Amino acid sequence: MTPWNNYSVKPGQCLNLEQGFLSLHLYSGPSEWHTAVNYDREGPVPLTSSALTEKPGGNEWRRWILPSQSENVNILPAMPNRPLVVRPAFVMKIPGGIKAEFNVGIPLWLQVYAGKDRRVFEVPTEILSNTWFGPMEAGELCYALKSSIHPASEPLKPFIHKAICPIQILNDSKDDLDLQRICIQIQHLSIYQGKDHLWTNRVRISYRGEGQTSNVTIDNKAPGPKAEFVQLAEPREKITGSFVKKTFSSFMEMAGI
Amino acid sequence: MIHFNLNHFMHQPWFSAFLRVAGLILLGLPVLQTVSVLVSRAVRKRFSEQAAMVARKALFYTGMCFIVITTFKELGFSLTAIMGTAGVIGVAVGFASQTSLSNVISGLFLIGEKPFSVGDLIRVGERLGVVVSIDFLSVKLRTLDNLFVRIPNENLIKQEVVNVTRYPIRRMDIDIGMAYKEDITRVMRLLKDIAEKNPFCLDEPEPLLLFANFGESALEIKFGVWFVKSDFIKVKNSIMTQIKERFDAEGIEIPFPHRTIYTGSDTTPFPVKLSEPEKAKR
Repeated sequence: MTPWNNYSVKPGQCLNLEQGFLSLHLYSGPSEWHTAVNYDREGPVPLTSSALTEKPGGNEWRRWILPSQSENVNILPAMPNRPLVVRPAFVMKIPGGIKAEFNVGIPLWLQVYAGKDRRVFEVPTEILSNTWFGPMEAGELCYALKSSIHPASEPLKPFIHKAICPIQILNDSKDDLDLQRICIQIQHLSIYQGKDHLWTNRVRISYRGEGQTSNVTIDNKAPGPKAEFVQLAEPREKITGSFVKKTFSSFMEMAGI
Repeated sequence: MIHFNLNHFMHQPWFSAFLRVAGLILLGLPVLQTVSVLVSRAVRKRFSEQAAMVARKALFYTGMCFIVITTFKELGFSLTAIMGTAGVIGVAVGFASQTSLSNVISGLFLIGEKPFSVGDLIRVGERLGVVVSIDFLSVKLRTLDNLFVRIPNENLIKQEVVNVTRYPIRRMDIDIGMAYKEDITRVMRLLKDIAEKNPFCLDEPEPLLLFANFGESALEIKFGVWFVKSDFIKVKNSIMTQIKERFDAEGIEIPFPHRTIYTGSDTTPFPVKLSEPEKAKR
């Protein structure tokens, strides 16, 4: 049974959810929901739920006033709300003319819906640090992910609280591409339930040379046979076709050299 | 009994002119105001707050001139004579108000050059404030303690203006002194860890760690952390507190300025003579 379910929380009861580094408490009050989160865990855990008969103490609670109270809450995964900058543990080089495929694990957010369509709030399963991508006078605020980019040929890791984003990078230039950091526009990605993991759409990046913007295409479908994937979440921002975006940057650029 | 011929009255030429003028003023002014506001909103969506303000004022004053000129024309005044009189007055006023003219010219340069926009936080001399409006004669600021400051445009053109919020990210530089006995590498590693764990400090650009100087009383390190401009107070308070707490926990000394006095040899103790304490008064 998929953990992305409807949960029934009667008034006066509390639902406890844990995923990644997140512990989330959902308490059903009269015409309102009380929520509390903490990230005390040392290691990530898969999504688990438990029911409590009363509100646990020692937490900082937030109250959400809703016009009508529903006993059912729906928990769905979502992509983080900002682009993600991935810094590979080791610098990788892609020679000119070569296409390479990688997998990146993206920590999920949990979205809580009261009833069918009313989103109460959303919360990350892992707190990511903030970083800047692009020139200092422009650019954008992103989340930083310090993890390995895994070649697609490697066996898949557990990715407990993450969705796997398959990335295809084509070095469409004559020079070598130093993969020091990649900015992924994850707000355009959907989430699919595969056999053992959560997946996003495939991202295809065409690198055109230093100083040039890259051509980015996001597949409008699951990363594999349709029968094997079920779409769980739409992208935060829908996009059709490809777009041109600065995707790669080197350390020199970041240092303003 | 006085017989009032309304029909005759309404066909008088001055009456129809009066109606036209009244209509122009009573309808024209509200329409002009409304159009100015609508254009301002459209410009604000597409461009900036500053552009919206310039567009609104330009449209409004142009429309006002049109209404005034048309009113005079309807009332039968000769525009040639009025323009001539205005020209003479203008020359006289111009000589008398050279400073104001300079401010107007400076204002146009400021609008064209755009060193700052409405909403930016700027520092002019000792004044730090948010730009409320950029007008033809002056720029208005609201200081952070809610004071209203009017700065003539001429002054702004002549001196240095720092736009604190021009770029989306900033670096906060903190000068830290540590005792000469401390391990520099260890302290720098500690500071880097503090920056990594602070949620308001950006991972990149990476924090600056610079061994700045051998100071009189301490080894001087410059520690610079990058942050999004809106997080200034959060970064300032959190990072300073964390540095102090971490230094205390790790036993790292931040020395205060001090002098060591030698009596002639650094191996001979400084002579100290104890005198008897005064007896307590009964």
